[in-house]
Amino acid sequence: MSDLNTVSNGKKIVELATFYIGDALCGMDILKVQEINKLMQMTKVPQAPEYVLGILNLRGQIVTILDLGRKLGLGETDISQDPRNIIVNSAGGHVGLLVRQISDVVTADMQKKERAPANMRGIQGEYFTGVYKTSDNLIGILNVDKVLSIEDL
Amino acid sequence: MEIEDDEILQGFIEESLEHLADIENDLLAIEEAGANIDEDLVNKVFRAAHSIKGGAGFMGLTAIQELSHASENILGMIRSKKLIPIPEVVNVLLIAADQLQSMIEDVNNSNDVDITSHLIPLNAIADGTFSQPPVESEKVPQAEEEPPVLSLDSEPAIEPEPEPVVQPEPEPLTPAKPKAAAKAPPPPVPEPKSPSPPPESDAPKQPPPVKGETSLRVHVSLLDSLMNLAGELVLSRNQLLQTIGSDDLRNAEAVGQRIDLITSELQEAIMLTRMQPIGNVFNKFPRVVRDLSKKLNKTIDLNIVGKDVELDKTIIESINDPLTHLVRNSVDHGIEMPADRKQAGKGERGLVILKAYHEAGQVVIEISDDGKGLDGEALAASAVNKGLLTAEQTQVMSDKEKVNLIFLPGFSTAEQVTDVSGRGVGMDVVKTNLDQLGGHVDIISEKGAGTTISIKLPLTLAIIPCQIIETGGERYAIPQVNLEELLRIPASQVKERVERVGDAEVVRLRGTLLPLIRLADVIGIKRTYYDVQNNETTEDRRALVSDRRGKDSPLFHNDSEHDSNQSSENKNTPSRSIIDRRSSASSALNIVVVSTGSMKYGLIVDRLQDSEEIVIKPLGRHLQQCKGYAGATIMGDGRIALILDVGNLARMANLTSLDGSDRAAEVAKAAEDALRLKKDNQSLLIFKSSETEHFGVPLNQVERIEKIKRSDIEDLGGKRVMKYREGSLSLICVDDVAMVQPLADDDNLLVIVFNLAKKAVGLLAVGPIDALEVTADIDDTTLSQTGIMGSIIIGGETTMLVNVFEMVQTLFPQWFEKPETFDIESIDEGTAPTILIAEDSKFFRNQVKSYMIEVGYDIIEAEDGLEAWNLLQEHGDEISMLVTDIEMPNMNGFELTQKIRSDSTYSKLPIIALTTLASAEDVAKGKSVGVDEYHIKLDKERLMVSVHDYMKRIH
Repeated sequence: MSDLNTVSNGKKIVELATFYIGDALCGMDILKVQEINKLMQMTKVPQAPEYVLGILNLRGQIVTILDLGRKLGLGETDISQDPRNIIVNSAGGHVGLLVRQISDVVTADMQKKERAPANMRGIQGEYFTGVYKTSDNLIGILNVDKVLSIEDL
Repeated sequence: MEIEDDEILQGFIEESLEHLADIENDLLAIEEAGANIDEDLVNKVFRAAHSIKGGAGFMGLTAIQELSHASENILGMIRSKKLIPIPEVVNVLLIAADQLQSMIEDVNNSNDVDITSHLIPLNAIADGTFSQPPVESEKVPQAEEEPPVLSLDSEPAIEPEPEPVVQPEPEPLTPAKPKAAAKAPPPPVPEPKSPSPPPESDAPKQPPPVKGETSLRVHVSLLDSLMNLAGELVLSRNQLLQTIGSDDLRNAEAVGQRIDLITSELQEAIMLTRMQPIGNVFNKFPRVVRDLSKKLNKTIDLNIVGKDVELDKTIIESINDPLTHLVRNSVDHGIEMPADRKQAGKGERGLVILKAYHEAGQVVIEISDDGKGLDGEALAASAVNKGLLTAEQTQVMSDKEKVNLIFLPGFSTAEQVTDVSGRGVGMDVVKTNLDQLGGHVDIISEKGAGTTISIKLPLTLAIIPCQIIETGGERYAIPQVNLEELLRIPASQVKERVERVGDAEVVRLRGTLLPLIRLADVIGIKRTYYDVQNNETTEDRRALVSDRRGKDSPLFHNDSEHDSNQSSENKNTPSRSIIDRRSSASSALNIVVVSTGSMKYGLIVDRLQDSEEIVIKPLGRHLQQCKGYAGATIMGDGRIALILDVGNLARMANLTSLDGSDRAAEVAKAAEDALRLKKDNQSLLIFKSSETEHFGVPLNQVERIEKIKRSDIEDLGGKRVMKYREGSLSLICVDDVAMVQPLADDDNLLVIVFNLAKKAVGLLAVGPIDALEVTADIDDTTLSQTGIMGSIIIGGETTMLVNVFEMVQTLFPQWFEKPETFDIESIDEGTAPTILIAEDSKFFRNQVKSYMIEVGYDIIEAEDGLEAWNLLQEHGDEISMLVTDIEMPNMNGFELTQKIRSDSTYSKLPIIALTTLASAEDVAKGKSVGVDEYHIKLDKERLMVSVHDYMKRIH
């Protein structure tokens, strides 16, 4: 895959799916995204970690929905504001990441990725692999594995 | 080394492993046959070794090739009868096969393995210079075995003996591997002792599976039928899409049905692909038994029956450890040493039978041995010694219960811990593992004759029947295997039946006390209750179930104030309903009685729903920490319900089995004491005849209750009858005999059917009817008249107790003529016999007394057991029979009987016990202390028949 995206002139092109968590514009490799949904009817799971919003039935698969806002320390995502669910396929099954709003797909050159700051609009730098600057915005590239990890409970 | 063609290599590995799996058992058979070799069998093994050699040569796997070549040489000699396959030779071959297996499983490093330790004995055999006792090679590694042994909870080190031969060599294997690599067929999964991982989601948790997990053999015909069904499904989908467009409802229905059918068939077929013969597990046991018995110097035969029985793949994989443990137990502890067997009069050869068969939709696996059996007494004593039970507890246990003590946590029967089994984590782990599979273990053992352990397993884990319940507005599923019963305690009884002991709440259930857990509390959600009328779930704030505050409680005011500030969910609930609810239907308790392992408790839920077959889906890893769930399932409406893990819920509620039972025992004792002080309970069926008068009859006299229309009643020959079970049923009314108001003019009537004098009679009544337990005093004077034996106050209403016997006697005297005349004649010969009646309730005493006097017996009355005993001392000669109540102050009926029976003077005195409700336990207890017969109070007919009967025998 990396061969496909690496153009001969040393560029490493990745398409980023971008979205808002709180006020922060974040992005992740679009190839990691299975689909993006509206929030469907969820079943709450008592005793689950507080950032787990619940589970839902996605065509016969049980998907755990994580509120990225909570997970990254920005507080609850407002469910009434029509948030979106980014379904990613992780090692332990499907996981849905609840984000405030979906934004554009941005084609980015990973060679130009910069190191993440310690804090980006309230989100700890450790959740980013880096930042990417577009002409008018700054996209935090989310470290999906880190976000999905459960070690830091 | 790098092998280019991955696919061919994979094929070689799979094929070789299959060959090796067969080789093991075939070698054992060859050993068994000894000099009478079965040429076909030897040929088969030979060919297997040969193909491995060929394949390995082609792949450049020189070490494997060399080793298989050496083995093949020996097999060739056996085949041409140049060599007799004595156990030592077979041993060397087996060890070589093990080594081959581990090398093939780690094929990339196989060429680095030093196989000289195998080649030397192999070549020695071939040269005829072999003399090394194989025991040597088994001893050496024992010391090095340590680390794996320590890590085992159950039994992953299945064949520690042969495997370690590889250990002294430069070890190319990764540290994680040797355990699995040295293993015979399916890799045993070291079961973590930690709280149960849901069995269906075990895949990600298991150590890297070596084989058997990644691919599965499915019969082509099954695959074909799957393809067929898939095709059908696609076809139906197309039809469905068409009909949806066309608005043709009738067609849509047909298509719906079709899809329904295909889906079920598809599901079944797919389930079938997961089914594996249990032989996959059983096949390794000949080797296990052989190696073990050799080591222990026992001779043991193993019979395997029912290898073809199929079970779900997951179960097959997880059953391996428990089974191994059990078989090893049988070999190690069950079967005695040959000398001991001889002494016990048994053959020197022990026998272990491994059997699998289908029974009632489940698979039963039995492991039986003809060894020394389990000694229930010794087990009980040991449990007491270890402080797991009290001596009193063990006294009341049956033999079977004692034998089952072996499953108690912390119990290991091995007097001496051997390295074979009995590491102190014994049968309880086996039981826990099996519980996780939804299995059930049972032990039948006869001391000296052997032990049979039977395991019942569900065919599959993927689909399980579940009870659906609702709490806090969400649905949850409870696996049916954990379900004992469903219990609903009406609001009016909650206060009586639910009690508080320490922090725990318990419910009285048929004389035993059951610890209660509120599901909402355990999983930490708000308590709610389900309002039947409004079909909504509302928050509940009572601290305890048994807590029913009166309206004038100060807490109540706080409540309603609090209520008005409530958030949106409560706003539309008028506070009035909260007042009423204390006694309304929604305040009834719904309890799911569940059990797991040795634990049994009641789970309080908001609402009970249907039982459904559900498909288990694992929860994602973010939810693995939620121990209360075994998984999730998708319900018919597409929403998800969580599946509850009953065992872990109990643990989360800090309810351990011993705790629970201790607590329950404590409460039970208190309850028993309370009961002793209480007056007799009487179960009554309450009904009405007219609109205003209430009547009751003893519930145990009632045969059944029928609903009829007034038009069903026929008036024939001045008698009312109705058709009932191919015959006519005589109907009577209370007002036929007693001076009470006439039967209400209602079209819907009830007929309470009694059986008297071998005839059925129906009492006409109107509803509502109710069954109650009454402890109040019975007044036998105020309202007493013919047909009415007395009255009792129930719920503020005076209820008249109907004497059905007297009514029938008055209305149909001819029914009774015969038995009565017979007595008086026979009794008249001598003086009238005297009967001693011991009964603390005046009402019952007078009733029984009147029956007796009526037919001419003399009566001596006693108010309790002690008085009865004293009277018996005084009038011993006159008294020819004792009729006694059980529950009495000072000395109860059991004690009285015991006392009488222990005195030789009265040993022949007939004793009839009267109870309000004869439970099986009571009857057994009575019989054991010497009660001749049991009768239900107020069942005059049976009582008198048996009194006459005994009198006749005496005179």
